[in-house]
Amino acid sequence: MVPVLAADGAAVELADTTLLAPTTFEVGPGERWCVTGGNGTGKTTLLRAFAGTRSLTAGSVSVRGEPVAMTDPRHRRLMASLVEPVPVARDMTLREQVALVAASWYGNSTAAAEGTGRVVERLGLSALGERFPHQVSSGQSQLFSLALTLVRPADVVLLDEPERHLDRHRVDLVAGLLAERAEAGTAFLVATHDPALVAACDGRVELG
Amino acid sequence: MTGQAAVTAAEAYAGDRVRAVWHRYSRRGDRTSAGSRAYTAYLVVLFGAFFLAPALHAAGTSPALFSLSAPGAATSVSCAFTVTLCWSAQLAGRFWGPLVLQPFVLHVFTSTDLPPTAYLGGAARRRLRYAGTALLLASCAAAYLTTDLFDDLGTVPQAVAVAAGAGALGAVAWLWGQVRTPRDNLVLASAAGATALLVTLTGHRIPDAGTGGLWLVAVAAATTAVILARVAFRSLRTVDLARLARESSRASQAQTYVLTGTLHHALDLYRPEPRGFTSALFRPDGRLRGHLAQGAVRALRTPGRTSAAALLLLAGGALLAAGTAGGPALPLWAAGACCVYLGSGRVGETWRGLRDELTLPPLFGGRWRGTLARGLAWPAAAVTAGTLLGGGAAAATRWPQYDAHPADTALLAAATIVLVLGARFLREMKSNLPLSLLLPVMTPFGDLSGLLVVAWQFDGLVTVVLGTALLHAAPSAPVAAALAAAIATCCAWTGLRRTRSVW
Repeated sequence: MVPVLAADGAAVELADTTLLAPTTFEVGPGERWCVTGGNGTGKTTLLRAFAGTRSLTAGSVSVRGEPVAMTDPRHRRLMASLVEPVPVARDMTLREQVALVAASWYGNSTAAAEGTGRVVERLGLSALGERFPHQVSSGQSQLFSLALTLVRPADVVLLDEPERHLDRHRVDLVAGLLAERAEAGTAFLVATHDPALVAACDGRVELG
Repeated sequence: MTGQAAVTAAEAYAGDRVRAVWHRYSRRGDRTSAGSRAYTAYLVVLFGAFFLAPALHAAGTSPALFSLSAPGAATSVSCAFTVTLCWSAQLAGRFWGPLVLQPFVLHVFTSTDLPPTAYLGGAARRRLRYAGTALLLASCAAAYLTTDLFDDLGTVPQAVAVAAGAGALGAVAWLWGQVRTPRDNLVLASAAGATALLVTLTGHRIPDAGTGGLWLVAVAAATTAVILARVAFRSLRTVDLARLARESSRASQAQTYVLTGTLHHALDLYRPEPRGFTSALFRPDGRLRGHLAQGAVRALRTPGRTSAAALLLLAGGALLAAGTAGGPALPLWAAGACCVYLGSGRVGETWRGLRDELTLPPLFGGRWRGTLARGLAWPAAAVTAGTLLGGGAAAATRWPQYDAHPADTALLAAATIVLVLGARFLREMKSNLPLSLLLPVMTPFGDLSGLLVVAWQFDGLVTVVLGTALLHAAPSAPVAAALAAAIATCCAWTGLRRTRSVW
């Protein structure tokens, strides 16, 4: 079976600095893998390489057996990511923005409304749906970014420290949602420092 | 529903998906209220009633500023106008093109598998329609106000056709400037210039050079616009989405600055980052170079801006020479002063350094020792040299018709340079919008505090234009020079007060 994500000796060096040491692993459909390691060991660099925003200096990464190319609609169709900060609309409520992302995939169908409601509820944002981005806390803003990422369909999801600003209860909510999506066939590659998220994963890439 | 199945189902409905996003986005919370629309309409009515209508009436009852009745004159001027419009539109597209969207909406679209033509094409077509219409109306109004093309009913259709062709070409060039590479833009700019020259020469050979030449310009502009539009819209498929996201983010930030009354902060976002000459500020023995050399090195780190400054200063100097010699001609004089003013801001980064030094708390001891000399030496020297060079070149080619008072001409040019430097200092020392400007200014026509804010935004330019008008009205050159020195002193004092108000 072709792995959803594969890295083969992927490495990034900048002048004399190693941003990502050679790394090799494969992630299958429906698997949850985490990337761990100290600060500066290359977790975000690895995710950016899969997202197509960082070039490798050695080795390769592939998505469903093909090289990563952001300009390819098939790549954008397969992959959702929360690696870079997501721009938000200051004049739309959280629910409106999640619904807008859903509409960009499902149009005006009922699937858009159902998907929005499900993600907002599963991440505990129902009571905050009518608020604007400046009216929520850092943790709630992180949940909102996760909702924007997870409301869309994807075969593989890249997440950079999804536990950022979240308390234990919210981390468990996120882990539960990831498990639910993984059962439906979505693969995850998650850079994290959280032991609970690491324990919930099927595989682990240790950097540094 | 798995991701793959959902997307396969959605693929057939790309148009529906785009419409669904725009539909939801247009219904967001702070869309324009009826009140603010009414206020905009009120301002437009005020502008039309108190400025446009009297200006149109005056133009209709007085001789034209520029007569285009000479054979071939209309063709030459319309060609020059069209090609200038094309170049300006290309330049505008490089900084703020028709594809710029709100960053969130663009992010939503670019994260999908939709082709860029699906979500950018509609917005681009709509904006090009608006831009083309606005350019058509503005061109017609400008032609009516300044030329005699609308005096004779026989030339009206041709003039409108030229305005329509130029508007269409300008709108398409705006898109071209954004979606095509700098090399393609240079090719288009060169081709437009060559075509304009060819059309001008051909127009002069047409027997009925007045109207036939205008028809030729209109047809050439419209044909070029159609060809360019096809290529430009085809380029949407391969547009650089990452660059578009950066442009949209910067435009959104700049728009916020503009709407909050700090246009100068918005313009700062469009300054290029310095590059190169990283160790040129120091001599081989490790000591810092002199003030002039430091300013020159910093200017060379932004070659694009410095080249623009050189062109503006040379053109400004030539216009000043033409405007002040042979009896002062206010339009040329004011245009020259404006060019020198624009060039003085692009001549280097020392203005910004000076503002920072004067507005930030002093960290390294004395504030005044050498600060002004360090900050002002390069711009003052460069502006003076560039302007005199341009004026000297114009005089050497005997462009302006000199009278018997070259000393007066030199004195007036020097006075204008002093005035411009004062106005530039005033503008560059600007920081935050004074709260006092937000207080209502009640008049019989309502609250006009917005006009004060607009004047504050462009205070340097306003000072230059009004100052030039005052110098023009002075009875003699020495009096005009004294007046310029007084205005520049006043600007410098106000600029220094601005820096202190930040503390």
